[in-house]
Formats: sequence, C-alpha cells, structure tokens
Amino acid sequence: MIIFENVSKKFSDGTYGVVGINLEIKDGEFVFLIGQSGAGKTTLLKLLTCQIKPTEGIVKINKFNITKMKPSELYKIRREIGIVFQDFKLLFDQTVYENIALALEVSGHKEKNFKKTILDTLQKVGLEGKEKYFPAQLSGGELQRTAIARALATEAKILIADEPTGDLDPKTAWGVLQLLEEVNKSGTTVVMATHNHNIVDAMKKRVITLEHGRIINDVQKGEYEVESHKSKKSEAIKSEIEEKAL
Amino acid sequence: MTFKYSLRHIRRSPYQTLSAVLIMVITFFMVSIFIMLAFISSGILKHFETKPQISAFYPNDTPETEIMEIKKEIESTNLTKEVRYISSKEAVQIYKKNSSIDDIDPNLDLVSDKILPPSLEISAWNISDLRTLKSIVEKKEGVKVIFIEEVVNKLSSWLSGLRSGGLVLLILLVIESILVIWTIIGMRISQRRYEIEIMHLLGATPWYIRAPFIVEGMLYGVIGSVIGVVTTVILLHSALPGLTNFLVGIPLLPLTPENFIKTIFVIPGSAGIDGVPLAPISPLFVLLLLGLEILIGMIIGAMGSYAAVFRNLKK
Repeated sequence: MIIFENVSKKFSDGTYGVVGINLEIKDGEFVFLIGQSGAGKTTLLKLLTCQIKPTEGIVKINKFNITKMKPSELYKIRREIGIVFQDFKLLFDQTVYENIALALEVSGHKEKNFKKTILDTLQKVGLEGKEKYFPAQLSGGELQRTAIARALATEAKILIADEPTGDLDPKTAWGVLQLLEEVNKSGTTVVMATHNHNIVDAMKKRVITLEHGRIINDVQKGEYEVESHKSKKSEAIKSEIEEKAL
Repeated sequence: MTFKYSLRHIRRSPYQTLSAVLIMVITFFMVSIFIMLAFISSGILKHFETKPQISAFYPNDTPETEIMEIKKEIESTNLTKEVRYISSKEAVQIYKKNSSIDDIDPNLDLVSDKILPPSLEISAWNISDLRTLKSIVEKKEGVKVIFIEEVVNKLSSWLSGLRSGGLVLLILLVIESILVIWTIIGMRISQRRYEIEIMHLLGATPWYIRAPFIVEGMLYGVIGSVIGVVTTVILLHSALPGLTNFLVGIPLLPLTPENFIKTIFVIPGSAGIDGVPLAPISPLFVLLLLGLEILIGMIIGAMGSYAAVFRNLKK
C-alpha cells in the first residue's frame, strides 16, 4: 500500500515539484503516471524511491512512514521496491548475472541461492542464456529486461518504472509492457511513469494525470480513453503495436 | 564480500594504489628508522651516562678525612647516584690491574702511592646537576677535575634534537599519509558515484557502501608498513658490520624483544645497557616491530579513508 497525504515538495530554488498530492495505491495495482515534461512525474517517483523527502505531508509505503525515517534507515524501504529506469542504470563493467547478483547481495539475500534465483528470473524475463553477457552486448529491450529482472530477483513488492519504454522501439516497448503486466499479475504493485498516451490507452489500467505538480485526473481501469476523449483509436493502436510486435 | 570489493577497487586503479602504497612505504620506512635510532641512541647515551661523570684528583698530601668530608657534603645533596673514594693505594692497585701488559712486570715499584693521587669518582642522577657537584668538589685548593658534562651534554642534546626532529618528521609524514589516503579514497568514491547511486537505490545499507573504502585504506596501511619494515630490516642488516666498526668500543642495545618492549611500551630510552655489541636482529624483534607498524598502518589508513567516506558519502 502506497499512501500520499497532502504531499508537497519544494526545491531549494523555490519551485515546487509536486503540490498537495493525495493518493492511495493498493497492493497489486497497476498505475500509470502521465503528464508532460515537468508535470511532476519524476518528483513523485523520487519520493516513492526515497531519493528525496517531502517538504510537507506524509508518504507511507507499506508499514514505513518515509517522512519520519532517518536517511540511514531508508534502505529498509528500498529493499521492498524494485526500480526500472529509462536509462537502465546497469553496471556496464559487470555481466547480466553480476548486475542481478549485486541487487541480491545488497538487499541481504543469501549467496548460496543466487544462481538459482538469477537463472529463474532471467528465464521469466526471456533472457535465458544471456547471463554471461555484458550490457554492451545487449539490445535496448534486453537491457530493460535485465533491469526488470534485477528488480524482480529481490522479490520486490512494488515495482517502480520511470519511462521504461522511453528509448525503445514500439515492438520492444510492447514486449516490456507485457512483461510488466505479467509481473503485476503475480501480485506485484506496478507504478509506471510515461508520456506515451498510446501505451496508456492500450493497457487499460488506472491512470493518474499530473500537471504543474498537481493531480488533475485519476481514472480507474479502462476509463482513461473515455475521460480523455483522445483515445478512440486505442484498440486500433493496440492492434498496430501487437502487429509490429509479431 | 567487503574485502572482495576493496580488492576490486585496488585492481581497477593500479596507479592510485601505487601512489597510496608508496607514501605509506616512505612513512613506515621512516617510522622503522626512527624506532631503530631510538634503540641505538639509548645505547650510546647510556654508555656515557654510566661512566663516572666527575673525577676529582686531590693533592697527595690531602688528609683522607678531608676528602671524606667533601664526599659527605656531596652525598648530602642527594644529587648523586654514586660517590666513590679511591685512595692512592687503591689507585695503584687499579693501575697495576689495568696495566698488566705481558712484557712489563706490574709489581715493579715504578708507580707508587706517592705518585698517584687520591680521588673521588662521582656519578649524578641527572647530568644537569653536574655543575653544582663540580663546584663542591673544587672547594679544595689544588684539586684537578676531569669533567665529562660537556661531552654528555652535547651528545644528549644531539640525540634529543635528533629524536625531536625525527618525531616532527614522523608526525608530518603521518599527516601526509592520512591526507594522501583521504584524497585517493575520495577520488575512488567520485569514480564510483554511479555504482554507489545504484547500490543505494537497490537497498544497500550505508555500511555496505562505506566498508570497502575503509578496508581499502587499511589495506594500503598494511601493505605500506610491511614493505617499510622489511626494507629497513634488510638495510640495517647489511649496514650492521660497518656500524659496529664505526662505533667501536661503544656497546649498543641489542635488537631483542625484551629491549623492544622496554623501549616501546615503557619509557623511551629506558632499556638497560648490557654491554653487548649491536647484536644480530632477532626475528621476534622484527615481528614485534612489524605488528606494531601494521597496527599503526591500519589506523592511519582507516583515518584517511574514514575522512574521505565521511566527507563524500554523508547520505
């Protein structure tokens, strides 16, 4: 469970990242955060991943109240969260296996179980046999799958994805989305920021729209295209993406 | 795991590692030289300090009672370790004993108690009191005084200057080592910012991220101290014959574990002279020296790296 109670974040230059955010995301939900650049999506995700603290309000993730926690304790929350970035944030001098092993190691998993966990996870994301590859030897889609595998291997309860399809072609992007949907079906809460309306239309999930740091719209599953009046062709777009994927 | 990461850091930037190790080697080479010097200088000083520091020769016609009065007066100052009266007859005996050369009959009456004067041999607790004692001795007219205050004083001030200078140099080297380790670990942290950021986001504890850098600094200290001590021992070992010849007649402290413990852990320079020339370096002595310097190296490394971690990884 993620709860934002009247959360604002003011930066040192006096500008606000988000203002008066009230939000509740239940366990197992799949939520899109959309909005133009500067709308506050990244600030919201940074609050979720404890990279920044709110200047006002309360952020609660599961049993933790981020606002009250000391910086040295934040690792406890981060261990429950898997993060997927647009730029992957993989270590390029380490293999796929080592990148995932690092996540397991820092989150306190036992080393004897590493191999099985890593190989199982790679199979789940469709990267079996790529464990000895270095990131430079992988395609964009494979890199993002590696990042997702790293987040999944630690059995994170919440997966946060910041524009994970931003740098990917439509076919690869669709593959990544399908993977995220599978992850969500297995019980993991997924919060994904994107500015791609086509993806949002096609997935039919809860959509939170941000503008100038405020939530201007929060629609439940499948209601987004009706609300937005922009997505009458969503099925057609979805089919088009699926066709490209094939 | 921490150790594995530290070794990986070291492997990835060999030139930074080399500079860190080199500065530690120089520091510990100087530390070792300084400790050895403390031993040797203690030996030299003790040699002179144990000799009678004032010898007062009185005219032959001076009554023994008068000399004994002077002796009592000197002893009453409580400044003396020993005041020994040597009569003319005893002086002859000492002379004969010390001059028993094969081709001269020591029993010949060439040297009699009429030639050799009675004397007082005085050793003070403190060399700075010798001048006071000398003034008491000189009250009697015609007395001839042999006084080694200047020799001992010069030697003492020379050695004390050497020790103070060495100590200042050591302190500067230690500070420099800490600063170099601080800078190098700081550079390491800057180079690994991206990796550190990822580790933070993956849920690493602050200690998990900091520990490899602190261990790395300690490793530099350990490697530097081992190389520094080994280099010093090899150099000293090869210089041993020359040093013994140069300091002929002056017995020095043997580099034994007993003296090491006395000198390092009790009072510097308190090790007793035992008249043994500079002995071959005991392996246990080297081990004790190595252990002490490894400990100092680890502390220096930990201080430098902790400062870097504290400054660069506050979050």
